[in-house]
Amino acid sequence: MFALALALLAAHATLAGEARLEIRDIPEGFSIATGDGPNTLPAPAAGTFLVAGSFGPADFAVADPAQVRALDADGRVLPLAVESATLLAEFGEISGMRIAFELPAESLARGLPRLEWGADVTNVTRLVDRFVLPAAAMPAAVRTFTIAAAAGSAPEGPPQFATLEVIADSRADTYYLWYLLPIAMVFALLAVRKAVAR
Amino acid sequence: MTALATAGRTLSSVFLPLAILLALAAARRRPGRLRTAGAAGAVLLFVAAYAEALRAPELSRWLYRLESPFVPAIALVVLPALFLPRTGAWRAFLLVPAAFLLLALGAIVRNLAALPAGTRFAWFLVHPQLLALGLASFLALAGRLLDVNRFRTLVRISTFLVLMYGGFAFRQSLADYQAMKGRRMTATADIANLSETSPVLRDADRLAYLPAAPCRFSADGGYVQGCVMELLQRGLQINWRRVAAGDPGEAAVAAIALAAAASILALAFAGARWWCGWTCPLSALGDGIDWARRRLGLPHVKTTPTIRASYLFSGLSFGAVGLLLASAVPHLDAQGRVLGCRIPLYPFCKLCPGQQLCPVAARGLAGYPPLPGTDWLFGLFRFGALALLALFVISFATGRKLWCRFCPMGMVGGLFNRGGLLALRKQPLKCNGCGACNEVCPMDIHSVARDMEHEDVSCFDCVYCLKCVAACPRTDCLRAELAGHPVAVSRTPHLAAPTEESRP
Repeated sequence: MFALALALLAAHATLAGEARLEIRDIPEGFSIATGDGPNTLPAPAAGTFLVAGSFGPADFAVADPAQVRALDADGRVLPLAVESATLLAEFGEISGMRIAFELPAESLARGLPRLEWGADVTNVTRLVDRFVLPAAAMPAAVRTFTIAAAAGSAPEGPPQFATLEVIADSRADTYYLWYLLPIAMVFALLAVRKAVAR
Repeated sequence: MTALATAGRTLSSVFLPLAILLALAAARRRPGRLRTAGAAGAVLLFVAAYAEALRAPELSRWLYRLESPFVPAIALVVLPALFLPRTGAWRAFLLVPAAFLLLALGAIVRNLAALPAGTRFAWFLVHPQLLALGLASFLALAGRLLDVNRFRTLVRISTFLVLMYGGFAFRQSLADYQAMKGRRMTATADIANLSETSPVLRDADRLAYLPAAPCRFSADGGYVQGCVMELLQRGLQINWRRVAAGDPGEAAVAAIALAAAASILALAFAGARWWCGWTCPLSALGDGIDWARRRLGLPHVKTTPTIRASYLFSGLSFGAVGLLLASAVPHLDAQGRVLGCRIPLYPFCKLCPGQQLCPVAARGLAGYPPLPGTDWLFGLFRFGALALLALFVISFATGRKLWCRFCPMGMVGGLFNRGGLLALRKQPLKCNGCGACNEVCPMDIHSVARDMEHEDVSCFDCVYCLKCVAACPRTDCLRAELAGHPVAVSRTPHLAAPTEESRP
């Protein structure tokens, strides 16, 4: 009974957030080292992609990197690797990190993978000092990701506009462009007072 | 968040003093009870809106970056000391700085007494907010007894001690002090390679800047993060393509830099180049050189328009080159080169004399950092750093504050000299054209003496040292105003004994 209760609790783990990931080819100038070495991520098996990229949407905040899990379109949990050198702590919580996971190509055909996080989410996460992508798998079997626009949000335009959309829709501590508002206010005040003084 | 924490956060907002000053300026422009009540209401509205905003966690985090540990001292001590009418209420107010001073001293004594047995001397361990409150309180109390010139000297020495020696003498806690000592043992004193340091006010989520030139490039990290040029370089070094690609680390750096820019602009709007004339540690070092010249009885060089224009143009060029190099930093390859040229992080700072002088001032001649090799941009950083150090010493040794006409940090403050909240005003009808203001002006500004048409004689180069106000022999001919309120007024000599109004 106790085990059943635990299983039910686990099944109803409260999520702090969720994001669907669009999988893309590695762009030119992608800043992760490639080669072979102790930190090299394992080359993906045939028929799977190694997906690596930075993750830190504005509403992302966890106390532990293990409180994040990746799931494929069928809801299967995918083992996750986290690059510890990129763990970004803000206001006492982790708000960004670089992650990597293996994704079966056939599940990608059925839908987008997603990331879930929250205090009740648990996952077995492998911490790696610094990611090195396996040279042999580059670039054919390596992919990166972007956060897919939520249903009902503005249609995606060219990349720069898409980015602005994400910023305008994001929350709080990555409202960084909104800091331009007080800057503009000070300059506007200065301009007005200069004009009045003249 | 508790009510006390909310009050503390609200008092730390850099926009609180700005709101107060703007409200005071509006009330003073058209005096009247209704106007005064409206101004007070506007400030209360700001406070209430801010406190309400702090209840939303994400907004609270956003606002955190626009707060500064110096601001409570400005809001609670400096502004009341400057603006309260000199009545019985003002004398009662003096109990506030007295209490803060005792509180700060008590905290230092308590922290020293709480050091574990066997701990060696750890200087003065004190929280930055308490240090700022204590220092402002000490100055507010001392200001009652001193004339403008002596008071400025006291402010310069006090801020110099904090900004130059605060990196080791005023750490926040024993752990902070010991971490600094550990870094100091391993830090490489090298102009070209010393890139990031840990100032006392360094915070993972926020950086604290001042509009003057408080350099952090010493082994102990200094007290504040740096000056406006350090911040501009930091902004230019951000890789905006990575920010746009959603890199959370780079986005956080962008957020911190933009918020710091907003904070520093708010401080510059309130104080303009007053920060240069009263708090800049580089200028204080230069004053030491100038003092030595005067002690030796050597005359200073009177500048010509050509010299002044040359300094302005050279300073602008120096700033532009430094920032241009900083903007190349995101494009460095794995060997730290761009277009085959080796460029350090913070290239402007590597040329600025501050990075050579501040470590020496803090640690003696042994702190002088090794100069960059000739491999850094074909020797530009090696010879440029030496040339600018020579220019700094020669300028202060011969031309009083001639260097400050060259300083790009000061130029940013100069933008706020007109239109900002601080102004130098003159009543031309009271001026007898004696030229005393020009004689004592360390920036050799002529326009204040010559201008017989305008009341606002603030100009780009003025550092608000207020020597002109102290030297002016005509009562109320010259005055410095903050938000329309006189903070220093000239007096006829036989009336020139410090009065309540002439005191800062």
